[in-house]
Amino acid sequence: MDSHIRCIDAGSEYCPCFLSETGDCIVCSHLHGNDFCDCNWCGTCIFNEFYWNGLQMKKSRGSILSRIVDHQFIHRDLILLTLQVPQSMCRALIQPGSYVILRNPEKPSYFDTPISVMEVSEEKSQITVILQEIGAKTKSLLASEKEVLLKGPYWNGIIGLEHLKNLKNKKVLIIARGIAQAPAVPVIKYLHKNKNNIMLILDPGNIQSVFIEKYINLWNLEPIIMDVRSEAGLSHVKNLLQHNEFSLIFSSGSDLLHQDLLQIAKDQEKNIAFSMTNNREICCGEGVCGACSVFAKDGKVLKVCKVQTFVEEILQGGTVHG
Amino acid sequence: MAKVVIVGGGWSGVAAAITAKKAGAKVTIIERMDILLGLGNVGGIMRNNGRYTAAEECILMGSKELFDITDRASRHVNIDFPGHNHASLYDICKVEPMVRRLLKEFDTEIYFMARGVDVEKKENTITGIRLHNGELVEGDVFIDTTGATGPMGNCTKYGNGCAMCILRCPSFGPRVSITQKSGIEDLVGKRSDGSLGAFSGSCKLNKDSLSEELAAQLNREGVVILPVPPDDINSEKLNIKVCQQYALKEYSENIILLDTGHAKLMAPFYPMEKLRKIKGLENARFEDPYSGGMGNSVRYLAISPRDNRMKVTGGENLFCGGEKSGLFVGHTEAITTGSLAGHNAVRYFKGMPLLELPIALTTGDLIAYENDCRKSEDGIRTRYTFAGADYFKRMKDLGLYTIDREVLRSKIKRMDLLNIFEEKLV
Ligand SMILES: Cc1cc2nc3c(=O)[nH]c(=O)nc-3n(C[C@H](O)[C@H](O)[C@H](O)COP(=O)(O)OP(=O)(O)OC[C@H]3O[C@@H](n4cnc5c(N)ncnc54)[C@H](O)[C@@H]3O)c2cc1C
Ligand SMILES: Cc1cc2nc3c(=O)[nH]c(=O)nc-3n(C[C@H](O)[C@H](O)[C@H](O)COP(=O)(O)OP(=O)(O)OC[C@H]3O[C@@H](n4cnc5c(N)ncnc54)[C@H](O)[C@@H]3O)c2cc1C
Ligand code: FES
Repeated sequence: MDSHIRCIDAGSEYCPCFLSETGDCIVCSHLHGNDFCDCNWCGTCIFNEFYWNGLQMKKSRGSILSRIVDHQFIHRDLILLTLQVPQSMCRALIQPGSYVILRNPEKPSYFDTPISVMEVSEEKSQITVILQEIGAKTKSLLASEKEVLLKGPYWNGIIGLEHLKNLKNKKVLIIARGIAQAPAVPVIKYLHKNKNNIMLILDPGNIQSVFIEKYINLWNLEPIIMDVRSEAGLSHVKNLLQHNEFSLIFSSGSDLLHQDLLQIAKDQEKNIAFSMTNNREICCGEGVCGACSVFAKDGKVLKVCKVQTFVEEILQGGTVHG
Repeated sequence: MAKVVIVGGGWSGVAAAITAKKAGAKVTIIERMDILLGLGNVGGIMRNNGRYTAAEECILMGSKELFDITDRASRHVNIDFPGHNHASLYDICKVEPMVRRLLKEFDTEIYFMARGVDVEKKENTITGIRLHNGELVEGDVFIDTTGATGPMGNCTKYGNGCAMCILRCPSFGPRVSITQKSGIEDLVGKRSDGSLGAFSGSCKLNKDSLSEELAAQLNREGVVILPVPPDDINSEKLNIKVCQQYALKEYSENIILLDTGHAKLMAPFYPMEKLRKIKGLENARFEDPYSGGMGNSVRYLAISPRDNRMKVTGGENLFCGGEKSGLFVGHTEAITTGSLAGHNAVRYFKGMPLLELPIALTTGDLIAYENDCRKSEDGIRTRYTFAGADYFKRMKDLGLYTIDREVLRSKIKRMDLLNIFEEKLV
């Protein structure tokens, strides 16, 4: 199997998944129709799990009805939702890149909407998300006042997650723009916990709002607020990279932002790690429906709701999202 | 200066490191575990039957240090057990640190807990080995000594599941075939019934779990033979194991224990209930594999195609040794093939003709014979070892078997191969 392809769900309680039964597992060569081991080892043997599970997949994620605890407009079309969820769900949504799939309970499954988890309160057993009202799915979701259907936990909201995982005592640049400020909050929290020195740029973006300051004020970060994709913004970032030794750039925003920043980072030739939010259209989240597919350089289809790989593979591949 | 990169630090990789070093190369070993010797940490039997001849041939050709270690670490020498004569049993708890120190003296670079997962190539030439953490280890010539055991998905599919053997896949990640990663298809061994792979043929009991008398007898004599109750005799099991040299009737009708530090039990696995019915084993527990009551590791699932000079066929600067290089069983076999691979890697770098051991030596004959035989269906159902089964018979038939060192010395001298592995080439 290609050594740079990993599965975010590998080794989790949802692994082996549907793909094991159909011979399409992303990691295990046996469960990909081959005769011998050739996996991208993820700390566990998926074939072994499959065998001990009676040659079948584990139970997949189901939907639960989640009570809306809080529902408030924080800016024009931006809505904060706080949802009551089981403890176990709460715990499973702490890591950066976690998201849930939400839907108005009265609507059919094609109204499923992936939404990042911004904050988790384990004590209250609640999660908080920020929703931008745009089209059919988000509008209908907001029409539901008491409850939403919630499917989760999902984890692949960030590509290049491994760069974040082991980073300690390093300097990082985080740039979060528009609605993607929300998924940046758990990243900031995580990197801060690991004693990294964080430089933060917040960009109001299309939503014309900076809304996470309240959630990160514990950590005295002094964010710079600016339009990063403007000429002045990009040269400011360039300047920062020139005069600082960053170990990681985390880009939270659209693919256009990712591309701009990745290019600037590469121009520096300093070998700075790059992680970014996952902007593919996610529908099933299970590697089945194909909504999230991109074509890798070698022509293979990657289902990015599950696959972790080089950021370049994702950005150069399929459709770039603005 | 030639840089030889060896992937896999089992007996064959270690042997290759020493001969490559002696020939003048800079040597790096990449090993996925935190110790060297791979399966050598669970074996111990040396010098039984034709292995004696092979060991002496190697020593005379200049590959002597590892045999010196296994001799010095032997708990018992010159012992006999059914079908086997003049065996030595090295202490598996002593031998790895000794080898590790030796390699330090030889100034070899060793990467531990480093798993080769891919190769970098320029056309057909390998330029480096990509490690699991993304690091690239570059070199001029490469040797695949990754063995042919596991990983656990294979043990699940072709065996009874992961038996928790010394290779410890869950902790260190699975074996990866460098040959396969460089685009060359591996060959697969079979059992006599045609199914794929084969179970390792022995396991170990913790000596402290034996009765005091039994442990004392084992320490004293090196071998203990205990009859199996008639109802429990299962001769079927003989067909599933790797070690056809121990596939004798005596081994199904008796429990044969050998003292290798632990109590080596000459069966691929043994159900706990049955084992504990036997006098002296009432409290027995397995030391290796931990789950020796249900299964053992499955081997021979990834054999490189090669020529008789240990160069991988279809590759450019890739050699192989040990179980990776053939359906070979044994430490002696791994040291023999590994030594040749290490030496030839340096010859290759220099553009010299590669060394082929003459078939008038048992070491040369085994390498050539396995290569011929593996082309047939029967051949891939067979294992090749100096210690027994068909090959030891062949050794005797061809007059290759001797334990007389002087006979071997004059033979090897005549061939002008005395200390050939000591020669500095670059
Ligand atoms: C991992 C992940 C986390 C996200 N987190 C948030 C969040 O915290 N807050 C938030 O407001 N939005 C978030 N989104 C985006 C959100 O899912 C889309 O805005 C929403 O699906 C739009 O649906 P719509 O029917 O309202 O709009 P549409 O009119 O259908 O589309 C409007 C825009 O949303 C994009 N979009 C449509 N469907 C999807 C889909 N299934 N997946 C992703 N993008 C889609 C379209 O490309 C288009 O650019 C996230 C998306 C992903 C993949
Ligand atoms: C239970 C048991 C008992 C045995 N008893 C005896 C005995 O008494 N006498 C005897 O002569 N023989 C015995 N044998 C057989 C003998 O141990 C083997 O044939 C021999 O040691 C094989 O050596 P090798 O170097 O070819 O392979 P291995 O010992 O398998 O070594 C391969 C090494 O490569 C490493 N590796 C694999 N892939 C990678 C990678 N991608 N990157 C980095 N490292 C990697 C592995 O961790 C391992 O250390 C026994 C075998 C077993 C399993
Ligand atoms: S969202 Fe369905 S396959 Fe990825």
